[in-house]
Amino acid sequence: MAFNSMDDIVSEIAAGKFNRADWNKITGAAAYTAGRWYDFGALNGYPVANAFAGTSLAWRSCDEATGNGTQAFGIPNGGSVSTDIKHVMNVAAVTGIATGVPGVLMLVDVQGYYPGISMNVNTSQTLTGTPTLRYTDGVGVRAYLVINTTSGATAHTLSMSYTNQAGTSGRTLPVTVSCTASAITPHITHSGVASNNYGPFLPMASGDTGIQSVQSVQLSAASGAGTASLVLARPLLSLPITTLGVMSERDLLNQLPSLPRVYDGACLTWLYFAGANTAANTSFFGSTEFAWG
Amino acid sequence: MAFRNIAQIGRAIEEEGSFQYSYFFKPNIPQPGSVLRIIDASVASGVPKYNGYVGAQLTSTQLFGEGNAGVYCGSVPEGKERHLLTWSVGTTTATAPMALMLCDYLMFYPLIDLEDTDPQVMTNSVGLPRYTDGEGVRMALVCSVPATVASTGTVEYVNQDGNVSTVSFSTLTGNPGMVLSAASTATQSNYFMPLASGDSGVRRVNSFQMSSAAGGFATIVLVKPIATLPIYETSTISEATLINDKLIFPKIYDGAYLNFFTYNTFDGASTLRGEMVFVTR
Repeated sequence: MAFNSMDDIVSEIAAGKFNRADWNKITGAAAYTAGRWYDFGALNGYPVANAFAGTSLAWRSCDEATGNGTQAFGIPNGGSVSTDIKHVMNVAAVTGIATGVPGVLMLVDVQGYYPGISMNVNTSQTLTGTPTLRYTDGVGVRAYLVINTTSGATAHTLSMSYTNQAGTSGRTLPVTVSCTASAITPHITHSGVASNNYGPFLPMASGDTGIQSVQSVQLSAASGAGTASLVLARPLLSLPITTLGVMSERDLLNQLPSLPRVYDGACLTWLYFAGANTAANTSFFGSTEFAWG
Repeated sequence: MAFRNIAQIGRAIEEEGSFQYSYFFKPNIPQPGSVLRIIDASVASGVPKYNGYVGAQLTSTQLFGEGNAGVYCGSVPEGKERHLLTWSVGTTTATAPMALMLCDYLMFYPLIDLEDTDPQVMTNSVGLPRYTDGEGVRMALVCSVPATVASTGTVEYVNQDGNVSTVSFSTLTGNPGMVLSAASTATQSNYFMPLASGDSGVRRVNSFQMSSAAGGFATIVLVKPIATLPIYETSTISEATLINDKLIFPKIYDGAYLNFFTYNTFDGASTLRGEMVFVTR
C-alpha cells in the first residue's frame, strides 16, 4: 500500500511509521581529488565502515540489518515494513570544512559486491555467485569499482562482461574505461577528470537499463598493486552540498525524484562527488528520514 | 487519537485551540573555543532555563520537561497525541551559518571523570523515561569541566535489542557545554558518540573508560534526535512547517525535555531566538 495523499502521509507518520537516522562520516588520511567519486560506505563514522568482507571474486549480498554480514554499514532505515511501502522523505547533510564543498552526495542501495578483485593482473577474473537483488530484474542497478587497497602506478583500463536487465549475458562496456593509477581507498577508480574516466557508475551497453550480475572483469595491464570491489547499487537520489557550514536539505515529495522507494532490507550508503580537492579527515554529518504506509 | 489528515491539523489550530505556541531565547550560547564545534544549548541560560546536569555521580538521571525546563510544549491530555508542527529560529550574532538539532533529552550520567583511566561503572537506578526500547537514542558526551587534552576511550552500553555492545571513541579538548565527541582523530566535533556495527540505539550505559587522562569532567546524555533546522545567515529567520517542508511530523511524548545542539562553523557566543508550535489531537 503506497501513500495516496498528503493526508495519508500525515496519518501514517502520526501512527509512528517513521524513522530518522543521523549519520556521520570522516574521510581518510589522504586528500580527495576534485572531480572524482568516492564511496562513503567505506569510511569510518556511523554507520561503521564497510571493509568489503567476503571471499575474493564471490558475490556478497548486502542488507540493512547485517550489512555485508560482518560490518553493518548501511544507514538504518526502519527495518522491513511489508506490506507497507517505505519512502525517503527528507535528507540533509553538512560539512564544516571548506574543501568539502561544493560536492554532491548520492544515496544508493547497495545490493552487494564482488570483493578481492586484483588490480595487479591483466588476465580475466571470473566472478562467481548469483546475486539476489532487491530490484529483481536489475533495472536501474548500476556497477562501480571501488578501491580497497591502493592500486599501482601502471596505467590500465577496465573491461567487464555482465548480464543485463533482460537476462542477456555477454554484455560489455560500450567504451574504453580508464582507471586511475595509484588510486586510493575509497576512490571509485574509473571516475575522475582524465580521459576515458566515467563516474560514478560504469557505462552500460547500448539499450541496457540495468545489471543483474557480472561474470568477469579484466584490466588491460597489471597496475602494480592493490585490490578493489565491484559493487552493484541502485541510485535513489542526489543531494548537492554547496556551501561551507550550510546544511543542504532535500524534501523528497516536492522535489525530484519524488518519494524514492526504499525496499525492505535496503543497504543505504552515500557516494560523494568531490567538487574540490577535499582535505584529509573532513567530517560530514547528516540525517535521513523515512516513512511508510 | 492520531491525526489523520491535513484538515485535522488545521482544525486543531483554528477551531479547537489544541495547540501550544512556545517561545525560546538563549542570549548566550557558550563560545565553542574553536570552529567546527557542537554546543549543548541546554547548558545556556534563558528560556528554557539552564540545565546543570545535576545528579549523583555516574548515576542515571531522567529528564522531564515541564515549566521552563526544556522548551515548553504544554501538557497532553489523556488519550491524545502531540506533534511538532512548526519551528523557526534565528541568530543576531555573527555565528551563522549553523545547524540546530532539536532533541528530546532523556537521561544523563553526570560527573564522569575524564582524568580517570580506570573503568567508571554506571549505576542504572532508572531507565529511559521515553523511547524505552532505545531505538534511535544516541549518546552525547558533554563537557562540564574543561577537558584539556584530546584522548580516546571505550564505552559499554546496552543497545536497542537489549544486547551489550562496546565501542571506541575519540574526544576533543573543550569548554563546558561543548560536545567532546570527536570524528575519529580529526579536530572536529561529532554530535554523538559512535555505535557498534549493527546498532541503532542505546537503552543505557554500563561503563566508560578513558585510555589516557584528558582532564575535566563530562556528562553522557542520552537523546532522541527530533528535527534539524539550519540557520543560513545572521539576522535571517529560518523556519519550517515540518509536514510540508520536511515531510516529518514528529511526535512529542508527554514529559519530553526539548533542547538543542548547535553546530558552529564560527567561534563565537551565539544568541538564539525562535518559536515552536505544537498541535494536539
